[in-house]
Amino acid sequence: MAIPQERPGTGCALHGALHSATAIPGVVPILHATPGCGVQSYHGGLAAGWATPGPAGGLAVPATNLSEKHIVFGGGSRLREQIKNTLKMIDGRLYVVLTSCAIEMIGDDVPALTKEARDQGHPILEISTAGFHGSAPEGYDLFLRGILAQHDVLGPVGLEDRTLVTILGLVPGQDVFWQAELEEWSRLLAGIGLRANPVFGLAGGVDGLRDLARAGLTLVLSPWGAGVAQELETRFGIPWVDAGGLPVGAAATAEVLRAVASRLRRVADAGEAFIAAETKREDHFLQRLADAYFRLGLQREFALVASSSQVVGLARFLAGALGWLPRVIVVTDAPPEVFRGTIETALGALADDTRILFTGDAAEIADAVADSGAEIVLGRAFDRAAAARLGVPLVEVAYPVLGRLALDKGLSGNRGALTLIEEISRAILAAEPR
Amino acid sequence: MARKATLSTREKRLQAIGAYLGPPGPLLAEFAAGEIPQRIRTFAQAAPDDILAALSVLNGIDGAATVVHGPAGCVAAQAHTAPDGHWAVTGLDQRDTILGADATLSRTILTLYRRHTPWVIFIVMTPVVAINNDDARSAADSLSAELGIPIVVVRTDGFHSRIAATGFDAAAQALLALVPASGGGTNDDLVNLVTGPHALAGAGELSPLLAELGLQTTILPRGAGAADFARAAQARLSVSLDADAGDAFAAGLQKAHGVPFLHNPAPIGLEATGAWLRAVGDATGRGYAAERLHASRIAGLPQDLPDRPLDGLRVHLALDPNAALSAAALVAELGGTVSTLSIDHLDSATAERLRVVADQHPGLILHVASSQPFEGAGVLASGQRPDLFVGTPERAALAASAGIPTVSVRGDALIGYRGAAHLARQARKALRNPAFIARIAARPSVYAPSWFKRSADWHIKQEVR
Repeated sequence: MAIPQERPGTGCALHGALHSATAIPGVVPILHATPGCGVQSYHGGLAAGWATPGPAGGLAVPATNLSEKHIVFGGGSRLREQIKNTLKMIDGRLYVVLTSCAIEMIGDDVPALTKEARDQGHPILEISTAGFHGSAPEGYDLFLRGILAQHDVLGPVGLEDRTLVTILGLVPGQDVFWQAELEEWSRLLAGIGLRANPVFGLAGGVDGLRDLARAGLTLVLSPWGAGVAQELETRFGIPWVDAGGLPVGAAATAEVLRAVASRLRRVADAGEAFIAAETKREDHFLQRLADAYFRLGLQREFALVASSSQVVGLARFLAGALGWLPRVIVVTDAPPEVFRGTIETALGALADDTRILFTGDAAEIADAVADSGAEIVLGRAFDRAAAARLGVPLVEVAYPVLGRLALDKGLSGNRGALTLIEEISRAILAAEPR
Repeated sequence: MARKATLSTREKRLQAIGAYLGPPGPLLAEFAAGEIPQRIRTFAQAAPDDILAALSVLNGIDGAATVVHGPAGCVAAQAHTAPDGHWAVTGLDQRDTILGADATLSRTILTLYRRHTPWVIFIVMTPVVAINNDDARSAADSLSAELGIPIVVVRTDGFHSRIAATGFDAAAQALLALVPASGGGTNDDLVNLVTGPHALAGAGELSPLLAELGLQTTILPRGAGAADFARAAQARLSVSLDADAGDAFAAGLQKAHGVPFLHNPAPIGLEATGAWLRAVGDATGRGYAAERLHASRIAGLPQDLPDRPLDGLRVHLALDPNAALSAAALVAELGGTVSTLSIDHLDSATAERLRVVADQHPGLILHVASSQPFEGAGVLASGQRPDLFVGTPERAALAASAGIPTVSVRGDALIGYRGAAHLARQARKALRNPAFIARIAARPSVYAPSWFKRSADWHIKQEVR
């Protein structure tokens, strides 16, 4: 049943799938939809730190742009034509037809049309991604499950590689800093002698999709990667580690790296040396923070509004490393019910008087933040007015982010923790002139 | 019950087309003959729809709220375009596509009203509810009576028209419902400045000029509230700064309330700004004062505005249709020649203006496409490569990736005397140091090499009926 929301920031399943497809080099999405869906997605993507989409994404995404006659008589012939010409226009290693609400309502037989092209030897598949199936993170899940369901299109899988770790759970276009986070976690895994399979982004690709089935382990950084990880375990016997969200700071990062190493039965020495060096580095910079901490009043009671991939890691770091106190924490992306208890438990352990909410409704969030009495808000561009009501700084950490560019700096791992401190101090200095 | 209001598409109302590439002559001949075959694409990329166009206007109404009746993705763009607005989505799921969601719509309206007490609520329709034939109007009528505010259904659907600008007409139809009759009272010193989604900079330039002529202005719909709409029917006349988005509203004011609509091209370019001021002056009995005002502004132009800063340059203009046609004159004033004109659509209301531009810029190529960067890349890679590209931000990024010095601008920023100086300055920067352009142009194209050996209109075909 419909869930009306004021200013939701989670897009739809189609947009999640579309952002996911365009975030993988070599994948060319073909949008089977009425006009508007692709442009909505493009603008939605810009709200993720002003990110320019991949070369076959955004306004360049191939699209059938169905008109009224197709809605009445069916859009199959238009899709056939679009597939044929996309194959000629754009060199891709994998073509993926994504369907919109209107298409699934009129009942076009999309699988039959992609099969036609596959029978001609083209690497193409289709995924049902109508927006009404859910939010963008659910679209990410649908996209990956759709790939797995037709995995043979990608060619032979190859031998298992026990040093390869697939990273799942970061939703392109929704997790604003997804590229930077993938780079950080690839760096961290390399530090303990493993190779990352990020699938998405600069180091990702169609090979990464194929290698989903031969990796030694799946590292899940948000609830949105768990379903696919579970399926990889069931179908291919690949174990997975749930990080409980994106870890932030040396202590949380070390926990996850040790869990990964342990699950793969890696010899610990090299990994421990790396973890020690990373922890030493964080200690060094926290020492250098001491003057600023007291001059800028860097112990704060805070409100946090972010996705399920972020809240636990951010709150734990702020509380555990900086001595901050959470007043209210809002989880905006409606994670599956099974994960809510875990998130609540983790957040509840930080302070016994923290209000914890699961909602994406901007009005409800604004009231919760304004009522919290927080001294700083870590949230979204949507939360600017609530922070202003409190008269406190806003640090944009979650979608939508419009107050800063998101290029190569994330907020997780060891490097991200220091970036977080820099962003917090920048917001404080801008809002509270000395 | 009153009959449903009808909304004619731009294709039907103005014979608009959305696909063409070539010299303007043959297309203008088709318009002259009154037989314009609709053209379609056999390969296409993401294109905007009427919903996005309507929302771009409605987002600017002060104190209003908007409910988008559809799945959550139908408001995805709003996170970028209206992050602080009062808008909500009914968030339909698969079950609602079968059973409908009238009750959800009512609940959403009520929640939004209680939260923000808007003076008007718009209900924007989407493909799902159009296919499903959800009855939004009943909910609107019933709640309008209960809450005592206008609740207006905006007749968009995402697929009825291939021309996104049809959504401007849907928005205009909704906004006209907010204008009460003047009751016979007219303010002879009041002018409606009708804006588009981006026309506030232009209104900010022109409103003080009109004030110097002793004219007050009501700027609407962008930034307008209930009081502004209440005054609209009392104005002496309306002028539109963005013909693509604003003319339907201005024409509607004339038709419904008798407010004369002064058709005049947007004041882009020094001479055009003078002509615009004179036209308003003449229509309000201030012709001489307008003439003097223009002369004084020309004399007072900044000293750093160089003479003919685009001298000898071939310029590719890619703006909204009417802004592009107006900006062509500005490019000529600054010494340049328009080599290619890229616009979203062309219709019978703008065809004659295109003829004038084509005469002024011999060899002009016309590219009609809403988005479609593959065609744009093809055009830029062809013999039509310009010295300077002047376009909207979306189009500017494309030109930059082709290694062409680029100015990113919307037509609004080119309005008036400041607009000319703005273009001159932006062009100077782009031409003087194109380092960033050179850097990003080094990336290989996403399109197959074979595409660049074909004519860029390869995928445009006449529709078979």
